[in-house]
Amino acid sequence: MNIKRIIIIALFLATTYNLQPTPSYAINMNSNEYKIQFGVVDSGGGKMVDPVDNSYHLSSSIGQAAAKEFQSNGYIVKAGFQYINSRIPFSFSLSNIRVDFGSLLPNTPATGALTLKVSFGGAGQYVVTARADRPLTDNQGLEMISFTGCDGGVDTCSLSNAALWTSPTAYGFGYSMTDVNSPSNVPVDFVTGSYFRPFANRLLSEEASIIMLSDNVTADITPTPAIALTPAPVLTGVARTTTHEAIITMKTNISSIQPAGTYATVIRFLATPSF
Amino acid sequence: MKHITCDIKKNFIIFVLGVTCYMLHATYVSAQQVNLSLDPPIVQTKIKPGKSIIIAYTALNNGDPLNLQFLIRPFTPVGQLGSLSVAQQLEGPILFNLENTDVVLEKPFFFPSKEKKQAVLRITVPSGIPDGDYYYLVLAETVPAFSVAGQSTGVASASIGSPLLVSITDSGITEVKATIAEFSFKPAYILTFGNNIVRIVDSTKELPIVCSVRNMGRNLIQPQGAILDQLGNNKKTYTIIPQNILSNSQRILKTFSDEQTNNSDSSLVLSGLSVGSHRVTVALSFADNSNVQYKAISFLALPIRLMYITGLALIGIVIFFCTRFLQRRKKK
Repeated sequence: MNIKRIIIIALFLATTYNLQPTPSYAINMNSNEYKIQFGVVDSGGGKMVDPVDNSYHLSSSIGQAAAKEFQSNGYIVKAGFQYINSRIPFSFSLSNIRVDFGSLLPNTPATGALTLKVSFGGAGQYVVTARADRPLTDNQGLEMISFTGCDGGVDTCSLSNAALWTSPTAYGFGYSMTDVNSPSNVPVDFVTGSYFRPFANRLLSEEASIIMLSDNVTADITPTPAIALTPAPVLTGVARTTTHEAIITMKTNISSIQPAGTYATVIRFLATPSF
Repeated sequence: MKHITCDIKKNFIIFVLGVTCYMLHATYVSAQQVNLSLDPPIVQTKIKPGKSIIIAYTALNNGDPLNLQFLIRPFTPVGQLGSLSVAQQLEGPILFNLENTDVVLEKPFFFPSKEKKQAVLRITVPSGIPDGDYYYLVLAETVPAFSVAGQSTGVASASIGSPLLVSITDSGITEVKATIAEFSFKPAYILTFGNNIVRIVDSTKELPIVCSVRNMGRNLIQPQGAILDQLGNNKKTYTIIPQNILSNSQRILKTFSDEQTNNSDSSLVLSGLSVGSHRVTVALSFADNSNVQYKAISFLALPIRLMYITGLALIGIVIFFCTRFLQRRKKK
């Protein structure tokens, strides 16, 4: 009888213990590998006032009710991509700020190269564009080396289509792209290093040309579990150290009637994470 | 007298030689490298007219010292892969200024190596602005440095941008008006039996599936959902990445998938397909509590390449035996 009672009491206590409801909180989680920012904490919120001049109000909004937050504050702000929790910043580098062509000689192409690098672990997608302020122009701004049309005929290049430029009598100024990565992240029309395009001309309000692009948002990110119609899934992948590298080779070739002088222009490179 | 003149000459020559050597003194010159990062990589905000908010951007210079400036430019989406086109001038009804005391927009400042600079951006939405989306890029741009080197030069300027997506709404409600514009694949063969169409794909090859969404509303949306590949009782689900589809634009959706190939113009690449009749369905919700839109496609996966090889082998065998049979007959 006593044993039975003890067992019943023990079972009752164990059940009560296991069923005991506890409050649960989500909060910023981090390790050396990753950081998940702004996990939802449905427990409060507040306002901070600058103790010095009592003027600066920083609202901290924690809680599920985004609609309520909008009504009370008049705004909601989300920073960073909600589906990529990577601490790797989006960064862009150029190996040099100048490409020197030296003293230009007629019918003798001059080339120079730069290395472009994009680290986009925290963005997942990016695009790099290039555009020249104007054609290569002399110091007085009177003479120009116009943008290349490549070898001409079937090998005529355009802003979006590279073509062969090997003829010493084809003149102008243009660029070629070579990718260091595989698969390639430069436009496919740059078949070899002999394929060139003219730069887009800012003076003519031409659209900047895409020279590097990656829509690889999924590398090393594995959602678990993959369930239909759920919010952004929990990410279990390793934070990426994704860096893409490409080489831009600029080339110019002048004819014998090109006036002597020092020619220069600005090439503007823009790297942006996709929206 | 002659002796003095000789001394002056000698001193003059030594002086000229010294100056020449000094002027020709070669120093080590290294390439000036640019390495910039800007954080956060994207900011999305919903804001009432008449309100103003502050967002802090941090630029980091991991390259050589340079002159940098912060700029704001509007942008529009281009194509279906998330590319964008940036305007040359700041325009639009939203007002921007930096709260920093040492930095202003569009004015270069010296940015030493290995330093961080925070740009505290105030975004002010004047009252009376109609509801809708406004898209900007916050840019950190290096100022081109020309040099009188006596040689023709291409001078590079590097910019790094961060999209700033502003949804202006007085009520807090944003417009959701979108549709699945395309859900398709490219079959190897199409067979028609009366009203029935059978699409056949090669199970030994990769099959790209394209799913794009057209946003016809005046606010951005973030579709959520999944693509489901079903063969009998076997199901495989690929979750859609909730990317932004900006107002009045179309975008190819992407999925979380190990089979995704780089730079593909597709949402999903199915590989290692099992032989049989597949039904692939996409289910998308464009906002919380909104209706789910479905679209489905079906195809028959067959090992076409294997069938070709087997067929060719069979034909070869038949020809071989026929030839032998005919040769024997001739001999007889």
